[in-house]
Amino acid sequence: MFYVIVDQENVNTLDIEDFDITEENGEVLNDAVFRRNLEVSERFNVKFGSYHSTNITADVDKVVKAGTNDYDAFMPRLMNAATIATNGYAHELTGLKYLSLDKPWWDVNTTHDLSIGNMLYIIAGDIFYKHYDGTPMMLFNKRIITDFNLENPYELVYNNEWTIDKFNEMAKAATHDLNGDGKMDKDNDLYGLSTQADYLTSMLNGCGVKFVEKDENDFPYSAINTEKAVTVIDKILEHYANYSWCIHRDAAAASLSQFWVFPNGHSLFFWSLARFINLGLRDMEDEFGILPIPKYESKQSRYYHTLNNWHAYTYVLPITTPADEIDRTAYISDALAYYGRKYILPAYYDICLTRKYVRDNESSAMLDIIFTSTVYDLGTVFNFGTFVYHLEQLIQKNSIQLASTYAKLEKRINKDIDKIIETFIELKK
Amino acid sequence: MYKRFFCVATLFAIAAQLAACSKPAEEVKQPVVVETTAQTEETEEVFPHEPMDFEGICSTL
Repeated sequence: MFYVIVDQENVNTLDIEDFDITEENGEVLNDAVFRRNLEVSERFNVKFGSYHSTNITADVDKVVKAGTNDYDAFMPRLMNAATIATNGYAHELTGLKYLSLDKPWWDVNTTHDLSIGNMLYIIAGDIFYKHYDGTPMMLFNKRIITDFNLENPYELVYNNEWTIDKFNEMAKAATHDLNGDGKMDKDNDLYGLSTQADYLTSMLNGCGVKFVEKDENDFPYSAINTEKAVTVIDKILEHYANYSWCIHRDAAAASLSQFWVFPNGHSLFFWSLARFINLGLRDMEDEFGILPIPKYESKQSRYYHTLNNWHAYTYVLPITTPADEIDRTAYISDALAYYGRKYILPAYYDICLTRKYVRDNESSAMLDIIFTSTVYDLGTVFNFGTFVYHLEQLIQKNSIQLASTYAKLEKRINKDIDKIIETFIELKK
Repeated sequence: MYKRFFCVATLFAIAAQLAACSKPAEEVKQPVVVETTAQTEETEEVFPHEPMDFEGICSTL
């Protein structure tokens, strides 16, 4: 038996059901997961089971403190993986004989971005497609582009002109008080953008600004208090704080409307995650397209798409795994990821994203750009000094004084970074 | 804040699914079928480990 704890925050959403699937039902993803499980099960004579935890950090805490070996792996969302690792409950993963972290079925960005001092406790990859569900992207309404004679967004990407300034310009140009009553409302008027607060980290990273970078020894340091970060945040605030052309949770008076504005054709852009395309846009009447998160400027060498802390799943092995079982655990994990790449990834990417949900060839090409430019920011993942949390709170108040906020939290940020380094080094011993 | 975001996302998901269920089939938009090379060609790489049989080597459950 190979038994895992799956992070389930709530009923009906955000869960991995891979090990609950018992038969094919004609649904593409279900059947791909079933075939993956069947092949691994038959080839290696192992069966699978899962426990769905609505409080995975607490359950892992209990398991580890009890010193039992009840679970072979944890499947937490990114933010909970960070807590599990910070608590010292994760097994170090580099150098495990049967875990092929250099192979394409593991996300090389996790091994590169989430390591600390070349020690790695959190990974992700083709072992479950819900990891990729947490990938951000910018959606746009094609009708509105035509109605207002705006530039073709795909051409902007192809010509390397898709920048935050261009994004701001287009969002502003699309905004209109359609019924002419002198005020903006979500049912009658047209916004440039609909979004929510964790858009901040995605846009910042998209512009090449990370909260935390790593030095030549792979140790993290705070990197946010820079002139460029201030400039980017000002550009983000330029639209986010302007309720006349950006609608978000707070602007929508704590209602759900920021999520309905785009599907209902009342905003040009929608900051989205991959999972929302499936969940909320399949029946959208207007045609929509997919774009990368904009660059800071044209000379930026690449795009950056930060896996979302709330929606991207990760894979963690328990610290309690006995030495004589770690090879077995690593081997089965590698097999699940390998056959996940063979069966599940094509079903998710080729069939679901690019054929079932996406409506044009250009969006498919954009998805290739997006999924090959994913990144992680240790500052967001570990929320050192609660800095990211504070920024996301502040953006809802439409004011981020970066320098003063950083000054207030700097000691705590550095203390948290030192603590995680110490924890990881201690675990490695 | 995170909790609030999650609640919103959850309700959005549920509402979207309910809305999808309530629509007649003919209203569902058919996407253009596109061909893509995507990322699947690399799966030809073979599984790099010797075959193993884990019968009898179980976790404590």
